[in-house]
Amino acid sequence: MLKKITYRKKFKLLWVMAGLLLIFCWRFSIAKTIDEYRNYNQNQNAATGNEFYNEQNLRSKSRMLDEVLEKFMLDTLDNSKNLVEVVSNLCEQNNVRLKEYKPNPVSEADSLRLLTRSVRIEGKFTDCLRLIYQLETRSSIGRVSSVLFKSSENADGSKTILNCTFYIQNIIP
Amino acid sequence: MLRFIEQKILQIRKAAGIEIVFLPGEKFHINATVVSLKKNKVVQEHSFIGLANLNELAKKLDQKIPVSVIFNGKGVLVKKLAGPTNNVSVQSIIPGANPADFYFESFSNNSVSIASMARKETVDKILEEATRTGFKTISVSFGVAMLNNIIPILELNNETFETDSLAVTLNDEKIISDVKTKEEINVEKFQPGEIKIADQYIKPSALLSFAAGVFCLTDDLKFNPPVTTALIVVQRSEWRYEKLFKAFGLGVLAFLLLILLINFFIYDNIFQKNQALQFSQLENAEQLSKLNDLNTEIGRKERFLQQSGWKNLSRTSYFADRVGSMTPASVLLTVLNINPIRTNAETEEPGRLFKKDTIFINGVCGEPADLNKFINNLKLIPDFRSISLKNYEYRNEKETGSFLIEAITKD
Repeated sequence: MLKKITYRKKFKLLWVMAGLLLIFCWRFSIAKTIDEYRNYNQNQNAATGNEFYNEQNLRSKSRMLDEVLEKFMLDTLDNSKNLVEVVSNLCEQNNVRLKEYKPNPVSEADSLRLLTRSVRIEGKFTDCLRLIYQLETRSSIGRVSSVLFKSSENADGSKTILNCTFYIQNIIP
Repeated sequence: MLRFIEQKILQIRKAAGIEIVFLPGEKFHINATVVSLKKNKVVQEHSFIGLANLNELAKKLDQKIPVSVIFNGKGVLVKKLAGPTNNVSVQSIIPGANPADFYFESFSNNSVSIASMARKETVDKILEEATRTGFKTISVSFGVAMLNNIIPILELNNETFETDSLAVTLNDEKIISDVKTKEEINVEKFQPGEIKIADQYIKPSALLSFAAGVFCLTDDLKFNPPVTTALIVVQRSEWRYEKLFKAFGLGVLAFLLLILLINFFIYDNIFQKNQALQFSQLENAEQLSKLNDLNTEIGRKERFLQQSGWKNLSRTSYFADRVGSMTPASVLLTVLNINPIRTNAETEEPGRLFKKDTIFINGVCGEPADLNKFINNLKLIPDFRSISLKNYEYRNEKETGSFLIEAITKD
């Protein structure tokens, strides 16, 4: 059949075939090289990325965060973090009375387990306030997350008393 | 540039000249010469004298090369006209003849004009037969016109030489001064004497076929030859496109091969690098896993600090102090709830137990104006973003009103 086709037509056909061959070359050869190159770039980026947050950087960042979180960590062996003991002492210093200590169920935030404990004290507003301030600034018993001042009258209605309930949160290691 | 490339591609480097001499009784006497271009010199490669038909020639001649055919002998009229003239035509030679029936060719020099003509029917018949036999005929000529291609290199001067059917005379200026048709056509294969052309010797019988071959080597296929027939035009076009097809085909294949080869080397290079990279990544997988875990852990802690507000110091005592200091004597606070516990409905995220930016203030106040004053006082505290009175209820029996204020703190 090819013999019947004139060379003029064959010459035109040549460019069509050349185009088709070029497409085949692209599809089955060059495209694969480009894919491999992209793959290589991705791997390289991944490798570079891992190197970027290399061990040293990550560890120093982690250390820094741990320092921030350290004062919120629950540590039952550390007396300075013993809530009842710390609060008792502060109550004595500030002329307030410890009325209630109550641990609440453990909750989770961002997969960190949090222990929330509530403490109720009774005393004058300024005394209670001073105690709270000392807990916030001078102790490392945990985070003072909430404070509730509530005044009420005693049973016979002769005296107004002020209850202060504060919530201390700790991260359970 | 393209024209130059095309010219290089179309340059004929080997060709054959064929002289077909008509003999009485529809017989032929065929002489052929194969010439080639070697180092810009025309070289006679083979010469075949006195063949009886085209089939015999086809067995001896490489049919891939182009051929130029000269017709002579009985049936081809070669006529000398005195002096140079431009008005030579079929009818000036044979009055009353139909020009459409003849192929006609003429040339002039300072001395004479020579016209040659032959019947189209006869010539076309032979050309068709030549095509069928497989020859690629790209030009056709009659008489001695082709001799003009080789006269400058012909080492003859003021002499007469004979081809098989013609006797040609050159004058002192080395131009054709006379042409005579021989009474008897020479059909002898072996002839004494040779004619020197440049540094090679050509038999007189092969002279015209040699000249035709030389014409082929110098022919430009883009233009029509002196004598054009429908078949010649087609054959020339076919020859031209065959050459272009082969050259460009080869070029395209070479180009694609080059692309594939380069691509292969690039691919191989990238592949090797990739393999090495993947291998090193596998080796460090454990270390990477630890780093990833550490990174996740850091992200988790950062997010917690950001969302819980624990990165800043707790300021509950500060807010309590501020609210207490701003409270007028006529207002009695009953509840001050800083960062109150969220209700179940308010807990969008598990673990966030307290509203970290809210303060609820409950109290009693006899005069609404005093309450308003208290609110205005609170608004003066720069750490509060907004203060809103949520509820106020006056009780006649106690002559006092209870209220609820919500303060939103800044981060």
